[in-house]
Amino acid sequence: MNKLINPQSAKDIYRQCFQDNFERLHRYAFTLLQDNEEARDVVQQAFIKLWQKRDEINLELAGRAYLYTTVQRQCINIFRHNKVRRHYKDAILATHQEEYTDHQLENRELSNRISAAMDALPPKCREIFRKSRFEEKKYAEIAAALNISVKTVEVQMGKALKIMREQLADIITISIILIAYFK
Amino acid sequence: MSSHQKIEIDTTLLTRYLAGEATPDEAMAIDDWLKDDSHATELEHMQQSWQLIYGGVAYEAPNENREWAALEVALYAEKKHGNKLRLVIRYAVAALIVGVLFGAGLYTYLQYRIPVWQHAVAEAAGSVRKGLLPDGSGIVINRNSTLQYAADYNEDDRKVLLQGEGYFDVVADKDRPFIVHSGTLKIQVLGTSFNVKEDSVNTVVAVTTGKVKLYTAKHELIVAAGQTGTYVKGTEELLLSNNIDANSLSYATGDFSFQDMPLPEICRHLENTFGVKIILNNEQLAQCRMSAHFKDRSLTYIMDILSATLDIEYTINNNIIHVSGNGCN
Repeated sequence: MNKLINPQSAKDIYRQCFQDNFERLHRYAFTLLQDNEEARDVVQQAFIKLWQKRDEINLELAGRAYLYTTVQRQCINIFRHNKVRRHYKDAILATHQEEYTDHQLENRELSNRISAAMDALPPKCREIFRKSRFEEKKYAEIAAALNISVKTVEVQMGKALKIMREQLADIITISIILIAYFK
Repeated sequence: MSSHQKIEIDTTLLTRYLAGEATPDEAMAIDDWLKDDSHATELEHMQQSWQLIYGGVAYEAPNENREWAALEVALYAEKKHGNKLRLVIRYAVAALIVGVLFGAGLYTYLQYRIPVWQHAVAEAAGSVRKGLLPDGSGIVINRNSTLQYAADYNEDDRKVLLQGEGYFDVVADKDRPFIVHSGTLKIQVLGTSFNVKEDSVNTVVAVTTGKVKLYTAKHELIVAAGQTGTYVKGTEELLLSNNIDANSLSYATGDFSFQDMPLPEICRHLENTFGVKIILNNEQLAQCRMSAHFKDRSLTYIMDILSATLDIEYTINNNIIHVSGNGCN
């Protein structure tokens, strides 16, 4: 009788699916959006959609793939939309630069080291990394702008991170502790 | 079985992932790879370096239980406005079951003349549980507490029976009053959120939104948002005070607000919320005071901040936390 009121089995599988995937999907969405809250919303929405489609989608076999695909699509939409907003914010920050210098002073040491490490990158590698970091360009956009293949961008970005991690190994450990305290 | 198992995980792919370039298949492959703890640590370090080098927001893992509770609420709302046909079938099934329950209930009623109660959430003495009542009202039940609802819940009214402590977020429905039975005290609401804590001496009702009515056979008291009503069991009095202690609700809300608060009091709130025991190793520590606000933070996060701010140290062992340090003057 209880089963009819509350279809336990479907809900149980769904719950399991949630436990197996929620946190990982959230991290994936975060990499796409760079925003913890927004990532949370996107993943929640994907789970709601999955529940609505539970009659069509086999939760056990296809639920996971459905969730990852839905999350990526939604994130790409949001990312495109937000790009405009971010550029506007950057413009405002630039006009009020003085107000932020105090805060930035504390980080000067850190950013000096990061710029130095970036300067130490091979020229091509550096150019690609700069486009990605400062112009917030996607891999495909960088490839198009520099007239190279996406594969080259991928490899160079991997290389940039690897070299800079080695260069900054000493401060990375310290900063991680600081980030843990002040985030 | 699936294509992503063939994807090779290397620095290039992990960088792609951190840069927000991974496809769903790649993300799944990485997540499978992360099941190995050493891989998880590797990615975590890489993500932290990425954050530092690349700048931007720090990643924060979500609280899974809270997210699940939010999802359940959203699903209920969706069900309410969902597919019509599915709804009709559901009502038909529900009607049938209500019929059977009604028969069974009537039988039991005639036999024993007491209401029929059923448990709203699984019984588990050691943990805080969240759930939804059949009308979609949200409940959070604290440790060592139980909540049951009447078999005829949501017919003419919505009766629940509480032992211990519970937080209620009641869906507004002026035709079906929501009534909490807590011993001889009854608490009636129309649509609001509030906390009920019953112990051997008092029942304390803190209202966060809306308005509730406390009543016994003899007295009644209206308690509005931001107020606390206390039922004193010995004298059967109802008392009103014009504030609520938000920290005592944090097991349900995840919110802590400490205003120049002595350390022993802070510890008492942490103990109540996280189900731990905190022991201050010397008397001087009781002099320490702190102001801070935490929302949805873990116990270790809060303890780390406390120890960094007050220059104290702590160890956790089997839910017992020992705090040591020179104390504050």
